[in-house]
Amino acid sequence: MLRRVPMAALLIPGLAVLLFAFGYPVAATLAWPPDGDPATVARETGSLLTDPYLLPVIARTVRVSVLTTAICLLLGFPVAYLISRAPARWSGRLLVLAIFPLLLNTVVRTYGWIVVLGGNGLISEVSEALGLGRVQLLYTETAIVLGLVQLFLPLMILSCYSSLSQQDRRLEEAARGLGSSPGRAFRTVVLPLATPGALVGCTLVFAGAVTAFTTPQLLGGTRERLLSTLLYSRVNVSLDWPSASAIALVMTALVLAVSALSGRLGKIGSTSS
Amino acid sequence: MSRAGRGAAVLAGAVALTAAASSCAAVREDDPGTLVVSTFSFATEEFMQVVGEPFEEETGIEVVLDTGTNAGRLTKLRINKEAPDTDVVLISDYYARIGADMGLFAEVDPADVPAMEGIQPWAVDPEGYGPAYTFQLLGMLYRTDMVEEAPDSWDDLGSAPGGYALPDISVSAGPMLVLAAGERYGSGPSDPDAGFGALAERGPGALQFYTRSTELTSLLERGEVAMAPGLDNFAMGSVEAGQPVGFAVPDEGRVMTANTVQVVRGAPNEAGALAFADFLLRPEVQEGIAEAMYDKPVAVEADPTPLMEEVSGEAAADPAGSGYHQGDLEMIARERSAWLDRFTEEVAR
Repeated sequence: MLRRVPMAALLIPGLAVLLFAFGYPVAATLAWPPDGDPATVARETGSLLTDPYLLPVIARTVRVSVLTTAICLLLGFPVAYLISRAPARWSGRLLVLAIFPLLLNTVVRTYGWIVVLGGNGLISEVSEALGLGRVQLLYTETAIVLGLVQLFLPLMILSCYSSLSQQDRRLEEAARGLGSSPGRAFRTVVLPLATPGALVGCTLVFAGAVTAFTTPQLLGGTRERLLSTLLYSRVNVSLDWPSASAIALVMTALVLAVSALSGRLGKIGSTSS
Repeated sequence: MSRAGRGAAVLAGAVALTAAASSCAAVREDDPGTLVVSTFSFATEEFMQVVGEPFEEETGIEVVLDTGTNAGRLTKLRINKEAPDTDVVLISDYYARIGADMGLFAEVDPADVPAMEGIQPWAVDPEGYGPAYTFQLLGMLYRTDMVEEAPDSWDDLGSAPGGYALPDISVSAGPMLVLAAGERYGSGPSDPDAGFGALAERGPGALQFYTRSTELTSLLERGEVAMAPGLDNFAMGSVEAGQPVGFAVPDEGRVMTANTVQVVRGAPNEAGALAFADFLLRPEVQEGIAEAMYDKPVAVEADPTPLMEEVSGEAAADPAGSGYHQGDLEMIARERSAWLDRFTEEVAR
């Protein structure tokens, strides 16, 4: 007990910082924006959820975020698996390569896509050379998903890798020694044990995709608005803070819902395994 | 709690308080030695070289810059309205109108800013707030190698092969284009219905609605679009660099925007703010800004640079004499929320 009390006391500065530097500003922004109060924000949230123009924006945000998460999982999990099973002298180098894109500025990465996806870009030129004519992928939903996948794939790889690298490889070998095919050993041993890491990765990527601003703004433009770009215009054009708070509330609710779903799936997974 | 526990808690609390206190600045009240200038976030080094440092040398007042977008800075001022920590604000004209309506800015007595006597008449605010100190003209930016004749009418938008872009309503050129289209296709610049109607016809054909000047110049320089309505200063960097980009003044629908200098109501250094506004309007300072930042001067005795005259023609020196006007800023400020929704629903489909 004597040892626990000082440890608990050491939590106080961190908790104080979280409370005053995160909790309070978030609560104030969501509920008490400038020129607004909780009732105004609630009214704006109600109209946001019934506005025939804004509902498609919410639907597009969810669609883009789900697609981004699914593609990141499909691409990231095999990479994480290969890195975790690579010889020790290679796994570190491969991991650095996988997360290298995280070290680049988002704007730089996104401008790279503008050059590739534009009407005079690489894909368009290849398409024309193949006799298919020029294609304009920039400022479409596809462009946003591509940009977000590139942005968040390293995050998914890291999350999956953290689960996979902690697995006792002898379990997989035991399954195969007892007659399981490689596919069955992977399905019944590796996959269930890696699920928590994958679920964390999915939650992080989904949250990142819902709240990302620069990539959707540069690759999607005004036509393909997401909640994040809509929030920006509410704050920066109309200076309509209560409406911006309502949009932020919806975004927060989406992220919390997926986080809760992820937690629930994790519990089901651990119970069944 | 044990003695050790209490000790750790006190230590942790002290560390947190010290950290918080060390990062706090004292609340500014009656602070004649410092001037906090809220300004645009681009070209801040050049701004300090041609305005900030010479002002510091002349007055002994230390200039501190607070940079950000028009809306972001206005939000900060609104939050700190009861105890402002900013003295003077450089801000676009219709955001200045919004700020004035919010009670954030003080009226300026021309007697306190003697240099106002030497600026073009249109640059003096009719409501008595801070004057304009530079301006930009709305016109058509175009690729000189893709468009045969300079597009000197808004009718020419989309007439040439190569596609076009339009300004998003969130950038200064967006509301200006609504006014210009109202003037060209309706009863005048105060006819936004006609403006939105004309833009609604062109919206579906636009490749992109650009949200920053660098995005537009990038689209033009990469040949993604052949023309786009935009501000003349967007073209100056490309023209100076020898890119095949030009700027054309439209025959009808000539709208300009101005950057204004506003004194914050209740500023901790109001006298310094007025002295700064006066300094900013001096012809030699105006010419320095023009040379360093592509911003055209409003002082009658300050000459625009040769590059400005090459890009914008006669309007670079005398916009009002060339038919340019700012339009109804009160209408833009009042209708901004409605215009945002209208633009998204009717134009950016």
